[in-house]
Amino acid sequence: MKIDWQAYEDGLLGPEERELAEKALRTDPSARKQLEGLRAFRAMLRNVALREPVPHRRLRTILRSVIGQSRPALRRYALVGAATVAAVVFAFLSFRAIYQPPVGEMRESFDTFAQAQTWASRQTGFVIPKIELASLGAFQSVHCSSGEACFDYLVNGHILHVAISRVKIDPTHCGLQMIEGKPMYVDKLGDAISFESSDGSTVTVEGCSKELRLQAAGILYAQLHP
Amino acid sequence: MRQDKDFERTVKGELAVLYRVARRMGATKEQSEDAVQSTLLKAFQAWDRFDGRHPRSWLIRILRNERLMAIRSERDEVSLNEDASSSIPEQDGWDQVIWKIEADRVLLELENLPDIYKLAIQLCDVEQMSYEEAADAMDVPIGTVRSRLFRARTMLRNRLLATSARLERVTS
Repeated sequence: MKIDWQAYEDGLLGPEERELAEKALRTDPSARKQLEGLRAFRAMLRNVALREPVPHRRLRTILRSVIGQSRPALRRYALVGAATVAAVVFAFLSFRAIYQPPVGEMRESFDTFAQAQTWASRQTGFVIPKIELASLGAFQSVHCSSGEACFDYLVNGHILHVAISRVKIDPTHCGLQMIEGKPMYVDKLGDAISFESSDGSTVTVEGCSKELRLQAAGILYAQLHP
Repeated sequence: MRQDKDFERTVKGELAVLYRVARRMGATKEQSEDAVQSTLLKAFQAWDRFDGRHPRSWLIRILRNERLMAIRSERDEVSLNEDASSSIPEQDGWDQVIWKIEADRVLLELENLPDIYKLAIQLCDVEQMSYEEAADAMDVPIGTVRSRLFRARTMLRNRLLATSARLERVTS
């Protein structure tokens, strides 16, 4: 009688069939080989499939952007409410307006990097260093989450992300390379380049082409290692 | 804000799973990122209606729908019908499969399986979800998960054995 080893392994055999399978395992070396083979096959499958690289950082950025994108609508309602309250307060206080800017938001757009830098420093709890990438593209927006500030630049129609945090670089996810004499960590997918700045921040550049990432990382490295 | 934090906390640990499942469904790296993004958007919008049961299955179900919609827009017609007419009887052979096979070939053969079988293997064997969770994710009865998984593993094993045999003939 053929034993369905998959069903055995998945716990799907009835009591009688299970007993038969276990008896075969006790007495028949070829039955044991079948089961061991199936187990090894599943383990290998899992190992192989999990070995494929996953762009963890990029996915976290996507998650942040999804939550950030969904906020403005809420914020608009909040601001309408706040404006109504402000109008009433305004009348009561004889033209003394009170305005509290929204705090704790994930994503904001600012006219200048300096404004974004101040906001992001407040959100992350550490001083974000000044960076300048105007030679590559225009600063678009900033978003913060879990102690990391990410500045987005529009470069040749694509977004270049510059993430700044105090989280140390994890060498298990990237390899150290000397790029034009500068120690940089390139992630296993080659999608992100990180380095440590002189003030102890970790800077990671993602998005756009590899050449642009390298160029941006080189510019930022020079700025952050005066 | 609290709702956002709950969502972020729940979803954060599932990002890699979603990406891998999208890849297994035949998406390129870029398409997989897009699929994860649209899944997260849909999930975030529906977060207050989610019952909290099997978040991974719930997210994968959304991802699957998103991916199928993307595929449909790429192709005129997608056939997801299970080829139930061809039966795959259980037969010994698990002991032969090992270890003539390189990882790349395993991945290649896995990629070549029909989508429904790839997904069954990905969810149950790779991500180690229970049959119940996988059924919830694939939106099919548990029995269907079992039969798909059975067929998927056997089909994959047979293909790998056939490839190995072919290579052995070539080298000898």
